[in-house]
Amino acid sequence: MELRTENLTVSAVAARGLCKGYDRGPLAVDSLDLDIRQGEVFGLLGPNGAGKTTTIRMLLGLLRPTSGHAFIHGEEISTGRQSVKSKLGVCPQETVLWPELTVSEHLNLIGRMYDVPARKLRSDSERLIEEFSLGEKRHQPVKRLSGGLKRRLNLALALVHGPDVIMLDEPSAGLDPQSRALLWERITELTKDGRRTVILTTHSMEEADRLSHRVGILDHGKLLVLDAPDSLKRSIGEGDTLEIELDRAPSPDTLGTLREYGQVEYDAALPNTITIRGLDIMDRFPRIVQALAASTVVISNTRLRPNTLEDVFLKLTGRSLRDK
Amino acid sequence: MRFVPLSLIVFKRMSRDLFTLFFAILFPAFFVFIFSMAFGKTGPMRNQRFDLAVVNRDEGVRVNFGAGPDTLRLGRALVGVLESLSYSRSSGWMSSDSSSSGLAGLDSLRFASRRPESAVFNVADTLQEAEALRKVSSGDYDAALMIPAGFTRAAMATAMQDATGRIFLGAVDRFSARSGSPGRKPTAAEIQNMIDDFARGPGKAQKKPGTSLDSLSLPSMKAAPATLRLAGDPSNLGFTMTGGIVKNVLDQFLKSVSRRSLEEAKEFLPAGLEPAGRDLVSLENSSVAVRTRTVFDYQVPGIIVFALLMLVSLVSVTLMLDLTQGHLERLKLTRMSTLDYFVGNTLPWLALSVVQLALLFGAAKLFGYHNVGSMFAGVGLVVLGSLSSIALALIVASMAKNEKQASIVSTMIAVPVSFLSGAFFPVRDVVILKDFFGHRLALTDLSPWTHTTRALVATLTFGKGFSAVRWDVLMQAILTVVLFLVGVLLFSRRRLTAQR
Repeated sequence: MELRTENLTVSAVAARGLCKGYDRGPLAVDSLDLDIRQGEVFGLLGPNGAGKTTTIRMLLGLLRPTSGHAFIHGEEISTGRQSVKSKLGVCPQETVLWPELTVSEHLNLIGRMYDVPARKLRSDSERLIEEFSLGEKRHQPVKRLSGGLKRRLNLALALVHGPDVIMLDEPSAGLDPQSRALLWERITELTKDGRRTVILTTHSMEEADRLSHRVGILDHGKLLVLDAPDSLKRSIGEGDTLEIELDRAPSPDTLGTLREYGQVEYDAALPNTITIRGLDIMDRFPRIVQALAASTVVISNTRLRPNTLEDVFLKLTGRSLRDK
Repeated sequence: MRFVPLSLIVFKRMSRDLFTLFFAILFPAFFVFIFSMAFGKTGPMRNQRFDLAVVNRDEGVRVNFGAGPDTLRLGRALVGVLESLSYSRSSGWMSSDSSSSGLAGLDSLRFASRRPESAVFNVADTLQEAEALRKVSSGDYDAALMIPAGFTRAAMATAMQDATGRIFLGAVDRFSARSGSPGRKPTAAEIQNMIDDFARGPGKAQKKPGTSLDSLSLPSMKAAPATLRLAGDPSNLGFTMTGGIVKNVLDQFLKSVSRRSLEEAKEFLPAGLEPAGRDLVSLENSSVAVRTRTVFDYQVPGIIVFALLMLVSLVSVTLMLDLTQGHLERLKLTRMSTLDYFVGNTLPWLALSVVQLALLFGAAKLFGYHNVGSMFAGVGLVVLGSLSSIALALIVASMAKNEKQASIVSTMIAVPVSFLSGAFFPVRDVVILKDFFGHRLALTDLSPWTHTTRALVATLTFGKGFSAVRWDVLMQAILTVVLFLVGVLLFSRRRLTAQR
């Protein structure tokens, strides 16, 4: 297969026909083409087992692709060259820390492993310690830190050598709202200068919606969509979303009647719930209630809200559970 | 009845970890093998050889067996017997190599089926006593056998005492028969007459055509007792074993000498009489008094080697923890090179093993270790031994699935290897090459820790210099390099490159 080389040098991270298969199973990542622009926060979303982690590991050079290529600033990642490594910063999903080392020792160790000059390392470490509010704990062994502090340190370690591309794998998992707010603030600041690129994988649609300039949704190893969050939300329908919970599953006739009032979504995975999207949905609400009453089903609950990225996600990937 | 599903779960987990199960099952069998190597009889090739220095001062005696006067040297014959002793199950009783029998064949007494490759002793018989004792003291020899000047005289006297005793008893019987009063005891005067007759030689029997007993020149039965001395270090297992073997050989040798003598005189003997003479030859053990050592003195270097081998488990588990806890992956993302990783991991363990040596040495001194060499003489050997252990740990960590498996496998390799390396007791060797650059190469020589043990015993316990351990250091270094290369190659390919 011919390698498409356009945009390779302008993309911070690029993938061309990236594939990964294990034994005789289906491909975990299937012909992934991707261009992540410099200076953007890119959200990579997908249900469990969609291929997100496999993709990230290939982009980091930790996993060898079955076929295809991955690039960082035009340089192929699989070469494992030290110049490539210096451009990458990683905050893994699990907090990978050495329990016996202190906060300062962690920053010093990782900085030195990236050959950061001693003076710069000292000043950068101090700055990160302040930015992530780790000052009081700088000399504490990590084993005595709370989960939130450990996650903050985990992120600080991804930044200590000043990488161009930062990969954050579910960085807010397990954080309290305060820590999460601090984290989101830091991530937003990272790309302000337009130099650094952040690749974010998360199961929090709110996080992806708030932080990402663009979002890619991956399922069964394939990239289903890639666009800005607002565009994606618009793509599933203009207006608001009305969720109606019923005492039992509606009949096909009832669903047909409701389609006159908007875009109806019904998923057998949640048999008693109907979702209707459309403009001015509140104006149509009395007629929707009448239509349901006529079909003898009883409304248990209703919710009216704007479209979210989660709606997009569920629409694209379905409601059936993964990892079965 | 909750134990049933629990047992099933445990069994299933065991059966699904075949790697660990394999070693768990083999471990006891392997121990049986090790102990058979140490104490069992597993075949003629699997035997420990003892180093025996012999100081032979035996002057021999002048004899004439009818073919003219000659000097009989039983000391030399005894050395030959010791040299010919082998572990062969089919070894015959002592006999002459030549067709000569009787007293004339004593000089060439040997064990019948001599097998040089499975000889019991490496005999060195050209040493002076002081040098022999010094070499025993320094551990070069397990024991030194001192054969006194009057050995042949005493041994022959014992034999002839038996023979002449039988002849005299025969004379008494004949006297009784001749006197016509069976059972009458001769008077003192009659006994004196019989002795005089015997001393003059009865001249009744022709030993060989033209030769009568009174024409033979035989050793006087009035010889002084002779005591052979076996010197060694009582705490050395090799000395204990050598002592037992030499005692048995000497008893058999003297019986053989006695039997030959009786053959010479059998025509004078009444039937059915067995030798029961006074034994003029004895063997006594003596301790080499240069320095009193204990078994512990021999074990301390072994304990050091055992500690070095325990590093295998520590290092492999640490490496596996690096892997399973994501530390290695985090480091792989940095600019860290393969060399960085190995050197960075090796140096702390080397430092630890040197500290461990110091602590172990200090504790050993506290508990009565009599070292001759300085602890510092062992530092280089310990560093080499540690490198071997780290290399083995790299191999284990390359193959293991998790730290638990690494721990189990490391222990199951390290403990038997420590025994096979002679850390606790000498093991019998399976010889691979009889001549390998001038040295005998045994199966256990393929373990670098065997050389560490030997070199540590030589330097720490016996205070020998580098020249004495040059071969072991060289072998240890070569084997360590080989093991390290294999370990680095495996670990790099399986753990430090991108996963497939």
